[in-house]
Amino acid sequence: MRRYDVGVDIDVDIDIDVDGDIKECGTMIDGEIIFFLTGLAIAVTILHTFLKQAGRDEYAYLTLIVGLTIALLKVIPIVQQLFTQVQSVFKLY
Amino acid sequence: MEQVMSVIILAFIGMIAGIFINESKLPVLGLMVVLACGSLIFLKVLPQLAEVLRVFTRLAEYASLNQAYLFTIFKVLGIAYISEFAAQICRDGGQNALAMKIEMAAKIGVMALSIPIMMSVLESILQILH
Repeated sequence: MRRYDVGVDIDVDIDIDVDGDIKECGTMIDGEIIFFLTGLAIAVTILHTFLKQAGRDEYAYLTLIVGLTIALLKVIPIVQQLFTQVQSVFKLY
Repeated sequence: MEQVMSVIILAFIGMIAGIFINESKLPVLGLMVVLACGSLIFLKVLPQLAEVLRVFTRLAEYASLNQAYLFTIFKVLGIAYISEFAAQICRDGGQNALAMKIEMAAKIGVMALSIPIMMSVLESILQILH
């Protein structure tokens, strides 16, 4: 299984061992993509307002496109991983 | 238990981030957060589901059931889930028409999958009648 891995791992380790059978996936949340997207939104918003105040409307629009592209580049592998995983689990070939 | 906890935490983070992002200049990112969050949650749950399905396969082996029927059911489950996921995303993005088309495609796919089983049932009925 290929994990999505960029930098920090958030390790929420709640050790409640009632049903000790399920140990396969671990407790790591790969939630950094959400924080990444939030930060991206903040950066794009700041850049956009800044460039708009400076009167560079075309560059302001360009920041939106670049932000969207970066977000897509980050999100698409996760979705692809989901699709391949679903295909392998449900035997959809 | 810990699985459910991590899923809940992930969903809350996604929800809060989505609300925050929707106020920014690039509200499309909110949709992407929902997409990524949903994918991650399902990726978390999938190994358990795979285990359950493996047990079902073993049970079917014990009952000497035809494997093809079981796999058809699995495929129907997979199509139903993945199409529902995609349709919800489309509906969140305000594209109701696209969501309905995805659902229609899924229904057609399920129907096409289930036709061989239906035909085999019909054939056995005909054999009994003759």
